[in-house]
Amino acid sequence: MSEPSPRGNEVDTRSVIQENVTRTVYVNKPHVDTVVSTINTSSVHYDQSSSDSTTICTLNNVLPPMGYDYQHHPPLTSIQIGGPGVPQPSVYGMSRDEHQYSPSVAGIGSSCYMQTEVKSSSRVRSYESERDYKKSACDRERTRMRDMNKAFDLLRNRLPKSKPPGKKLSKIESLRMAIRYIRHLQAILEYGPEYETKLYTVPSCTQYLPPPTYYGYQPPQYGQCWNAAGDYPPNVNNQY
Amino acid sequence: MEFDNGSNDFQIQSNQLNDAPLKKRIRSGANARERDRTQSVNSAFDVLRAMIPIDPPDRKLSKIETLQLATKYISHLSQILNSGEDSEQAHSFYDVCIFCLTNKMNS
Repeated sequence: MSEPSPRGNEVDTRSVIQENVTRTVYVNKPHVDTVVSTINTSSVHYDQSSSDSTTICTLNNVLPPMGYDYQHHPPLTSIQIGGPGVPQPSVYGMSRDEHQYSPSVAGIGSSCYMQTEVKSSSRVRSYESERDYKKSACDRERTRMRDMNKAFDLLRNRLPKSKPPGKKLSKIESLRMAIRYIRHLQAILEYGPEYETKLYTVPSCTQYLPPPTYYGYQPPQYGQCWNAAGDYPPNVNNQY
Repeated sequence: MEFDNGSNDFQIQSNQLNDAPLKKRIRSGANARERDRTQSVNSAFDVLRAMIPIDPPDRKLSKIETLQLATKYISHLSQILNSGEDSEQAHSFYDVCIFCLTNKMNS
């Protein structure tokens, strides 16, 4: 971060603040208050090319020139504002979530100076910029959720179709199905494609199961001990 | 006017008095259900995370990472199964398959 350049027509474009913050700053001109542009950018730019008395100062990722006395170290923690009658420094939060800041500009000999709402505490917050910050936080969250939903969709595409054509797997369903499917694929790799038949026909595993339901012709049941009273058969070797 | 406002206020207040504990109960029930639902989703994420071979093995993947890697892992396993278990070398032409790498590193 460089030193402030002398005021004038040059645009100073040092980046100061954390990204993705939108700020609106009120510009107070003599007898005129105008709202400066609200910028939804990832940078904040302050341009004080102000030879013109109708200049509007926009806040744009630029350290305010002259008339400022500030210290900055990464991450920027504070800005001190010089100049008479200008309220005390705004505090730049260290984390992305702290957005209480607003530089006030006292232009020396300039026809405009900028002022944001100031609280008596050292944390200066502009209502407009906080709302805009929240809006961009919402945007970020929305983008994050959209990416996650896309990732869910890609996962669903790789899973076998297990729902009627119009329906999608829900998130929890797709997670569980993915778990099951991966286990299945790993088991095939390890035990060969007949692993299911081998696993599920071992008599010790299946002797307590009721027989599978046959629709239609039922082969003769040898040694079948299952009866309607619900006793468990001692062996099911005849199942196939 | 003042009198009307007063009686309105009283009416509103008494309704609110009746509704307030009920609404709170409804909200706290809904909160508990949502908490349980979120917990079940998160534990499913944890199980899925544990199945994906990753190097180093204790790196905790974020949710979006587990989804993307699970997708890639399923593709990887399917491709191995389709093309035969020993042909991992001809796996993909354009990128290195990280699961093949992880496998080689661990074996």
